[in-house]
Amino acid sequence: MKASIARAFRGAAAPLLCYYAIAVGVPLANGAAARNAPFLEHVCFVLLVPPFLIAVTRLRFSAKAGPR
Amino acid sequence: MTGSRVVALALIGLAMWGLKRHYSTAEVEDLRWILWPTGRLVAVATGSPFEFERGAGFLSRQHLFLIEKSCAGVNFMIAALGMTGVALARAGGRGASLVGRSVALSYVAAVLVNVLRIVLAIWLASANVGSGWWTAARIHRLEGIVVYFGGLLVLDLVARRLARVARPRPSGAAS
Repeated sequence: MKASIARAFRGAAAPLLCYYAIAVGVPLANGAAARNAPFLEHVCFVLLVPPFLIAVTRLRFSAKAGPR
Repeated sequence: MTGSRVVALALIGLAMWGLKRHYSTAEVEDLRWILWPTGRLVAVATGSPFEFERGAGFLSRQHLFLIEKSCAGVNFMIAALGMTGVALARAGGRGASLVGRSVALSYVAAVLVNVLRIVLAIWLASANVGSGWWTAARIHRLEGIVVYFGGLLVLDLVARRLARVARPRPSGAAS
């Protein structure tokens, strides 16, 4: 199971990196995002939701495929 | 890595930078190139017209929904352009075709993913699903992250599949 999830994260590395870069990296880099509460909340959502989606999607596919 | 691939990737990087600069200073009128197809497709999907309002964006009076500058999907297109360019380059793409295919794919993906996000946002707003800590704004944020990140995942798969199809077969390989 762990190996399966790790493989899913490796497969999704490019979209994950690109999304983090544009949604968190760029606002931080150009200073547009003052470190205020709404931006911190946005960062928490952006950092946590995609890995959660990857793990849940992987688990669902694993469950559908059944034991190998 | 060949020279033409390096040049193509540099051009893609330059295009990403240019897009970001254009987006940061653009008025809503300057973003018609992406807002117009988005507004038209959302209108078709929801069955209600979106009219262009100067200085504001595309407005649906029926849904009281405005597709404004921040809804344009330009940031998604920038992320998609970089990701697609690298995916196609790793699969052997080079030169003008690498740049052209990356730009075309990222533009089409940005419009389609944004249409899906806006249609879902309109539906969620009308369904009044927020309660307690899950305010309408937080649900809108969550929906945006799920749709945009999901869109990048699908685009990555499409780009890799296209690259595999376009990759020249070694001479003498069975067809």
